[in-house]
Formats: sequence, structure tokens, C-alpha cells
Amino acid sequence: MDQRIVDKLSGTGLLTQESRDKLQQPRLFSIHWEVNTLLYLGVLLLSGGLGILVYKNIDTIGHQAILLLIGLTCGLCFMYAYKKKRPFSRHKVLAPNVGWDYVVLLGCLLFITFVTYLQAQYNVFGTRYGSATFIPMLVLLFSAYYFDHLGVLSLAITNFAAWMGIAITPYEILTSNHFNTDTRLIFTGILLGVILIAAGYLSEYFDFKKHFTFTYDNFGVHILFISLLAGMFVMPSYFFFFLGLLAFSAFCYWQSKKRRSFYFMMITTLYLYIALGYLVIRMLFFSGGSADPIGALYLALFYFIGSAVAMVLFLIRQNKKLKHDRI
Amino acid sequence: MIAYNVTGLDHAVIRDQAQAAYDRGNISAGEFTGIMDAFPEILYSPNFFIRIGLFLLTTVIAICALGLMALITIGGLTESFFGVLLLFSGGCMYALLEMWWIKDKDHYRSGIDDALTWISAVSALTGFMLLVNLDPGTSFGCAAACGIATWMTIRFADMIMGLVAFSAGIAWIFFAGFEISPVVADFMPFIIMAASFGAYRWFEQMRRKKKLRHYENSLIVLSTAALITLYMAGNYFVVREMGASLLGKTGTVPIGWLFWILTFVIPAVYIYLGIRRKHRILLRSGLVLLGMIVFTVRYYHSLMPIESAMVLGGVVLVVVAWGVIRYLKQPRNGFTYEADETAEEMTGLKAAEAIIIAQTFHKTPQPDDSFKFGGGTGGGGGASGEY
Repeated sequence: MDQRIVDKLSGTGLLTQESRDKLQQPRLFSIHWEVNTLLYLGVLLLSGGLGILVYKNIDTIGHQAILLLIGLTCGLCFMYAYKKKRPFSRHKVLAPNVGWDYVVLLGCLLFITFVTYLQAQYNVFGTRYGSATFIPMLVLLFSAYYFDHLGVLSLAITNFAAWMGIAITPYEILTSNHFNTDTRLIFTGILLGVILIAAGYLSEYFDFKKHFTFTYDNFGVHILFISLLAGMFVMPSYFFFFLGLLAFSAFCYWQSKKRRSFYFMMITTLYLYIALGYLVIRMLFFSGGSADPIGALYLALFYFIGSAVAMVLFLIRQNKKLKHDRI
Repeated sequence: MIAYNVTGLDHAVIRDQAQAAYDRGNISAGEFTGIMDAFPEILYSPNFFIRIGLFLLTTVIAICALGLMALITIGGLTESFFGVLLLFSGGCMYALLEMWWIKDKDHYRSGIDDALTWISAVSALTGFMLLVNLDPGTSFGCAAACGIATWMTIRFADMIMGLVAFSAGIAWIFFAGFEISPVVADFMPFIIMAASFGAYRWFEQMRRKKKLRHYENSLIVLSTAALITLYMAGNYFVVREMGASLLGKTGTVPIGWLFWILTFVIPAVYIYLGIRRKHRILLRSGLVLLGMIVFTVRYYHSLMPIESAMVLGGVVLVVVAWGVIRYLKQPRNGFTYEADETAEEMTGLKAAEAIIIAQTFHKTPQPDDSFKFGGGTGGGGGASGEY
């Protein structure tokens, strides 16, 4: 608390002397995030650099030494992680010490590099489609649960998505998925979204690593909404996708009210707004209503203003409700 | 001065800090409710995510309204007419923002006021530029942008708007110097450094004034920006490449040794002073600028291939961080590694960190694939939520 505010509050008798003393103790200067960022960048550089190093030296004698180095470092990381870890529990387990999170992360990343290399060079896992991504995914998933690591869990989820053939990371979800040329991706995305949301739901229902729910849901909700929207945009039976989206929005609305999540409330509203807007545009301009394009344009603009105002009012109302529920 | 209800702003700050003190167990429940009752919520500030939603929707409404106006007047649509239209709609939105949303509805950081601030500023600037027919690259355009953004910062204390105002101001000095004479352009690095240094001192002074307490966050951003431009103006890479592209001077820079020294010394000074004075802005700016040193050196002197440099850099970073953590196992000299955040805040930050990890690490290097090192997009592993 600021000195000014402490003085003001104790001047009006709102603070006891004891609290005042507590608040006036010199606060320690925390460099938690600075150090963590350095560690994170270190892990990023190290795993990336070792990965490139192997492939650049692939035809020289050195590459086996490098491979050995990667294997050894990876083994050391996992050994350290295993020795220091707290006993497994179905609930949240805190990290035993501060650098441990990053050791687990580095170990997992180096393991992926190792496996990918073995597959590329010696074809260890055979040529059956996907085994080279499937096995690392299993290891990541196991590590995520075993070591209770959210970062590794999200890596496992992205790898699972990659194994199914779809990109799910925040940046690539819109840039790398070509829904319009490969309509199969739409169904893959819907399936993936349903699986992830089910995983999140089950985690909560069985109270097994409940705190993983948000990560599952976050990836699942976005990929499912985006796939449904893509279905509306490119498939001839767009209305079925719209109905699906409507049903899913209702589900999300119900869930976000239950969990008091402002975040899911916001994204549900925005995705639904896009879907409705598309539907109106399509009806105005493409379904034979193009006799008077200027008139249609007027209608469209009025629709967007009116509906956005309605959505604003809806969000303000929901904000009040969710906040009220919380207190 | 600031447009928002000042009592409301004070109450909001006190309520925030009381909540934080209560979460950390520094005040009792009775004291907490007493404070909450004594300082009721006056301003309307919804949840952060609701704010994002309201921001986007307000932007949609404003753009559609502008489209509607353009559509109605489509017959006489010349460039200058469009300029007038933009100025007019910018003025309307500004009036709505001031008279209705802030004065009447007491919205503060609700997404609606943020959106209207930005849209009215952008449309006023664009309208103005269309009317006077100027390239935004010239010093006049920068001055206009700086003027509008400064006004908006003073009224609404928007952090990013402050950043725009400062950048436009620096750009104005820069281009004006070129327009005056080439002799001035030769001294540009020193002029910008002096201006940034002066600005930094000034911002830090203002930060201590009680009267300007509502601008605290804006001033933090401005101080950081001034430190960064101070460094960039003296950085060897920036000086050389700017000279080459704007003045056509290729080859080595005169008194290049001085710029090399500045390139190395300034971040070290920032970090040293940041630790000495426990000054977070200096410390963080110094740490970020370390990356710029590496980049500058590697650009001109390839000491080793990129992958070896990455491995070496990674090892150094991990070892340094590990050493600091070991050293600070017990808090020493007023420093601690323990996070300031409460457990609840940490849960949110951890979830955000997981998404950053997924984004930055999702690609493993593959053979026969021109693997590009695409890190750094996520930047810091969750350096937000600090202030």
C-alpha cells in the first residue's frame, strides 16, 4: 500500500496501529519475473540451439557426440525432476523449488528433439503415419500429469492437435489452417474441440487435476468455435454449422455462468456476434437479396450498429451478474 | 487535467490497494469492509475481459457509423470532404466520450471510453492530414500527432496514447533536424539522447508529485520509453543504418568507437543503477537492452554460428538465473526471489505462461526444413501484472 494511502486511512481511523505497522514494513524488492524471464529465454535458446546443431552436423562425426549430449542433458533433467518432485497427487502439486519448472520443461523439449532426430535418421518408430508425433505426445502428456506442469500440458495439447493435422497455437490457428482448401480440417477441428472440452469437463467432474481444466477448455473452445465458423463460411450446408454454433454457444454461456468466467463469457459473445453478422450479410447480399445493393448496405450497417449496441448492453449486464455472484 | 471524476479515481486506487493488502493478510476483514464502505465504487470499471469485448464492439459501432455517414454523402466524396467528415465524426465521438460516457455515466477503463479515445484521436488526425494534404513522414505530421496524442494523454491518462505522444515527439525532433540542415542531422544521435535524458528526468520528477498521482502508470511507460530511445540513439547499429538509409552515408561511422562504447555501457549502467536504487524501470530496460547488444555485435561480427551462439547464450542465461535464485534463497539486501503476487493471481499468470510456452516451443527443428528461430514473440514469461 502507498504511504500516502496508509496515512490517509489511519488518519480517518480505518486502520488499527497493528495493521499500520504491518503495512509500513519495508517491502522486499521482488525480482521473480525478471529471473523467470531469463530462465525461460535460456531454455528457449538452449533447446532451439541444440536442435539446430544436430541437424547442421548431421553428416559429420560430431553429430553423434551432440546427440549424446542432448540425451545426457535430457536424462539429467528428468532425473533431477524425478528426485526433487513432490509425491503424486490427483490435486494440484506445487513445484518443490523455483527452477524445477524449467528443468522439467527443458527435459521435455530435449526429449522431443531427441525422438524427432532418431525418427528422421534411423526411422526408429517405423513409417506408419504419425508415430513420430504420437510418441512424443504421449510422453508429454504423461509428464504433464506426472510432474503437474501446465506448460508441458499445453505442449502436449498442441502436439496432439498436430498429430491430428491441425494447428492450434494462438498465432497459427488462423494463419496455418487452410479451411477453405481442405474442408476435412473443419471436421478435424470440431472433433479436436469436442475431445478437449470433454477432457476439461472430465478433469473437473472426477476432480482429477482440476486445475488443468482451463487449459483444455481454452484450446478446445477456440478451435471448436473457429472450425464451426469456418464450416459456416465454406460449406454449402452452412445452416447446420450455424445451429451447431448456436448450441455450443448456449453450452459455453451456461458453463461460464457456472464457473463465473468473464473470459469465456467474452469470447462466446464475440464468436456468436461474428456468426450472426455473417448470417445477416449472407442473407442480405448472396441469397437473392441483391436487387438493391445500396439498400442492402444500409441495412447491413444499421444491423451492425444495432446488434453491437445490443451486445454491449448484454456484456454490461453479464458483468454485473457475474460480479454480483462472486461477492 | 484528467477528465475522470478525481474522487472516483482515488477511491478506485484505495479499493484496489485495500483488496491487495487484505489478500496478503495485512489488514483484517473488519478493516477491509470498513475501507470498502468508506470509499464506495463511483466509477464503472468492468472486468478486464469484458473491457476487451466492449472495446471491440464499440469500435465496430464507430466504424459502421462512419461508413453510414460516408454512404449518405457518397455523391460529393472528395478527399477534402472526407477529411471534413472524419474531423466531424472524430469531434462527435470526442464529445460523446467527454460529455456522456465519462461525465454522465462515469465509465473508467470500461472498454467504451478506451475505444472512443482511440477512434476520435485517429479520425481527427486522419481528417486533419487529409485536409492539409501532408505526408505523415514530415515533421509537421509528427507534430500534429504528438499534439493530439498529448492532449488525449492529459485528458484520459491512457498509457499507450502516452507512448504514441512520446514517439511522435521524438520523431518530430528527428525529422525537424533533418529539415533544418544536414549539419544538425550529423549531431542527431546526441540531440535525441539529450532530449530522451531530459524527458526521463522530467517524467521521474512528475512521478513523485502528488497532484499527478493519476498519471502514475502513464509516467512509468513514458520513463521506460525515454530510456529505450536514449539507448537506441547511441546504439552503433541504429546510428550506422539510420545514417546509411537517410543520409546515404555508407561504411563505418565517424567516431564509431564512441557509439560502440555507448552500445555496451548504457545497458550495464541501467542494470547497475536499477539494482543500486531498486528501480524496476531501469532494471527491466537494462535487461531488455542486453538483447540489443547481442544483436548489434552479431550483425557486424559473426563470432560463431547462430546455433552455437544460441547454445552458449542459453547456458549463460540458465546459469546466471540459477545463481541468482541460489543467492536469493534467503532475501538479501532487500531483494527477494519470492513473487509479489497472491496465489490467486499466480494461477492466472501460470495459465498465461502455459499459452506462451505452447506458442514459442511448438516447433521442434526438423531436417531439410529451413528452421527459423522464431522465439521472442512471447517475450517475457509473464512479465505482466506487475505494476
